[in-house]
Amino acid sequence: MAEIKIVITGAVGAGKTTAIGSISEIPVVSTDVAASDAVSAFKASTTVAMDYGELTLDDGSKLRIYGTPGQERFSFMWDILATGALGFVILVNHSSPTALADLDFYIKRFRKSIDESTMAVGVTHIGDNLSSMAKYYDYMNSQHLPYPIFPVDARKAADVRLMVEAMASMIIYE
Amino acid sequence: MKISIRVFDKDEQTFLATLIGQAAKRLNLDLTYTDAANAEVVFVKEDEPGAGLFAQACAHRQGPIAVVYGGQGYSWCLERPASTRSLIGLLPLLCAKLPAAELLDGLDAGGLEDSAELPRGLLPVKHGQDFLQQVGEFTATAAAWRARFGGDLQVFADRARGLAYLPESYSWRIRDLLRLALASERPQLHPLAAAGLGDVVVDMHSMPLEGFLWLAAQEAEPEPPGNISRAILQRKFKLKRWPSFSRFEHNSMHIVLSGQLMKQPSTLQELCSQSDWAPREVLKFYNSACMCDLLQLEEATTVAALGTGPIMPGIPARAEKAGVFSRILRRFAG
Repeated sequence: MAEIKIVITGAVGAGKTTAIGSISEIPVVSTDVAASDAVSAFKASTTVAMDYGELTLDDGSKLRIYGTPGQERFSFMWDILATGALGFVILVNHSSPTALADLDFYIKRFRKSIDESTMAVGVTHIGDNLSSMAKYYDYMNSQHLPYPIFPVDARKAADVRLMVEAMASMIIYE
Repeated sequence: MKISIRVFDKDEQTFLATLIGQAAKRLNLDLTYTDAANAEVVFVKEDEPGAGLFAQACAHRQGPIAVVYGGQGYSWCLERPASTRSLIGLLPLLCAKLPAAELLDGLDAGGLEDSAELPRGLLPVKHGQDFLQQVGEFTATAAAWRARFGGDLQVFADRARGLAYLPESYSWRIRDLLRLALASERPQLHPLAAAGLGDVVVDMHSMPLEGFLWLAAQEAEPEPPGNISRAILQRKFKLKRWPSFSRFEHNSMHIVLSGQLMKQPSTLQELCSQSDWAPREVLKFYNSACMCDLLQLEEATTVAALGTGPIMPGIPARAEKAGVFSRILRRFAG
């Protein structure tokens, strides 16, 4: 395996850059620019090419963590980043009115790569009421997707690690 | 199955051998007692010199399975005094661990009481069944409930909001509270209208109700496998969804078992025999998942794995990826 990488994807504002920053041992290398379109209404900057963080494993090799640009017009980067990925983390912003549609979009967009690897879904901005998770569970079941899905806070390293650990369990223990 | 009983006390050795023989007869198992090094299963008594070390050594290398008689916390334990029922539960699990796992196929299915369904809260636990069952029933039917533990200690639950309210933020004291409730204190439970919670919970600390239920079942000591209906031990089940592990205490075993049970249905017996974990811990996972209403029982005849899932075990690079993930998890652990 030439490159050990995990891809974190999801819509604008889902917390991809924050999630990478919470587990990366280096400062996140971002290609953020000032938002100039509709995104600027709720984000000062947005990622246009990718975010990058890394972790050193016990044999000295690097786990590379890439965040995709959220905006679809930068989607030419998605396939480049997805190639050869060990697994995918899809983040969904629950406070967005299109949260479920976003989840569906990203799963379908990366489905081929996911089928060849594994994935986990993190639902961000969901607060304390876990009953709101029901629609996401229903969606995953309806699509026959047994992959892990959790309510998460992208700022918490433990939550991001949980997603990686859970998606690893889908591959390690078969 | 070749068995060795390394218990110094002759009376106890005879007692154990008799019970094992009775259980094997009920199960139609072929047993051979041996003192030779080729024993496949070795029973050792916990308080005898070297028993613990022997059990630990067996757990970490190829060799006989060590069953610690009277021990706790080892991979394989047998409660003391033993009973035929507990051995009827244990022996099939041991058989399944051995290379000749087909021994399980011929088991006599009769003998123990079966139950077709397992209602939420009705768990195979040693103590606190009433408490857990009431909590399960109220959580399923009432908008809210209150558990009074004596004194001023109360726990409230709001089903609609999915929250439990505790007298203090989550701590080991909550575990102590639950242990007392499960052991003997018999807290009083009352269903409430959600509106009735009102100001009562304003100064209380909240945690996900699912987390509270998970914890309550974790604190309950499960019955030994021998006391559990075979309808439960041998019934395939899967998880309806992933537990919300990001919101409450869990361990790596819970994650792995969840992944396995999301992918395909398994029986408790299969989970105990496939994994390296103590059956007690697998049973605790089962109890917690049941308490949270996460279990989906499969039809008794259903044995096939989910066919529509995207898991593709045939991918050549899968083993390599599993190895890399193992390194990542070690990095997280370190």
